[in-house]
Amino acid sequence: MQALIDILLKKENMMNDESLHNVYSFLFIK
Amino acid sequence: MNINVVIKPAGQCNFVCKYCYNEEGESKIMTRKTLKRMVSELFDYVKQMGPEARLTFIWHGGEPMLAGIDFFQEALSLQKQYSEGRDVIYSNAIQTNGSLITEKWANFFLVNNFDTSVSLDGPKEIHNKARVYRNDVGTFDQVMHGINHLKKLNVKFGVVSVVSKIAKDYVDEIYDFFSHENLSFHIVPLAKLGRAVNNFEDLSISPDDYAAFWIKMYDKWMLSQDQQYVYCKDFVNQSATILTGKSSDCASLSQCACSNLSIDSSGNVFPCGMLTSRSNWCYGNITKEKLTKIMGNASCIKTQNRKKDKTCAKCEWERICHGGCFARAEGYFGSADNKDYYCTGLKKIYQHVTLRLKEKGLID
Repeated sequence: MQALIDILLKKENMMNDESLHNVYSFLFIK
Repeated sequence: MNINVVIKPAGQCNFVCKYCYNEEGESKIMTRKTLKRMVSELFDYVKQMGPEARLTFIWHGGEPMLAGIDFFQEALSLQKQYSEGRDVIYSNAIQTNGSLITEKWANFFLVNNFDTSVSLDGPKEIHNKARVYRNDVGTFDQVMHGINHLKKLNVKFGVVSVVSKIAKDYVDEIYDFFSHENLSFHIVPLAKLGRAVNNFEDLSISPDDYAAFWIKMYDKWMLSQDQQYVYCKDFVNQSATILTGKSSDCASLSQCACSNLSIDSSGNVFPCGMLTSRSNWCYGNITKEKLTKIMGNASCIKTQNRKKDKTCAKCEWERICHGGCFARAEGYFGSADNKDYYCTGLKKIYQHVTLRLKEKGLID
């Protein structure tokens, strides 16, 4: 359940934020 | 437009991890003169991107904390100075091996809002196989000591775990460890670069084995209930990418070199933090030229517009992966124009995530 919530939150963020923020792969950022 | 800069303030590291994508470089800390020049050049470069451009300083390594807390305090002061009057939003993140984190450092990360990321491969017996000191002694205890300082002060952090042959049969052990320790995590596959080239036989993981590891852990993660659940960046990101069609990290970002660059301790500029050991990828040096000029030179433009493998055009997943990571292609095949080494595994991952999201009713 929490996995789906986190996926949908991320989806929402990605839809609303056109900038490519903090995308370096070798780094943990939510 | 957002620019991510992977900065390597220290050429050295106090660990000698067997798969590190950096070569054994010269032991050098970035000078304050180079630091000042770099911060100034970066704000100048990003300012020209237009209003509300974003600049993310990603302090990476080597081990960036070897530069010392005074170095970072000066960096913050320079950021404040050079952002004045420029319409640029900036932030800081750090990737560290964690062993040097003290209460003072943890407080520094907290107060200055650093996104903090620690390299940790899972439980002690797995982590210590590759992440070692020069005398081959494992580093787990020191890393967890540092992590405990972050936990005590409620610093916003997560861990990055490298998936190699060492990890491939330990899905349950690794997930259960991160869950038990309540550590949000990210997984990245081994890259055949730097020290990993010499240890490749012992460490390499095939694309299919990587996919099997990833899929087994994803399903475990999806089914995790309350106390067993822990956030995984790659699982969340790949799922959101399937739902939106947008890239969520640089490995699948079309023309990643347009928004990512890396600067080493000498001021040399590269397209990617994974390629700073390869002089043929150096665009120029910020102590000798303006960054705006360096980013306009022919080698930079060529990298920003790199070709994809011809077969990618016919692939249904090209819209998601955009040819994959060119640094990994360079490492495995000696050509950044090749497709990602993990291509066949990534296809399995995308298919699996799509299937699971359909089952949950998130895709028609």
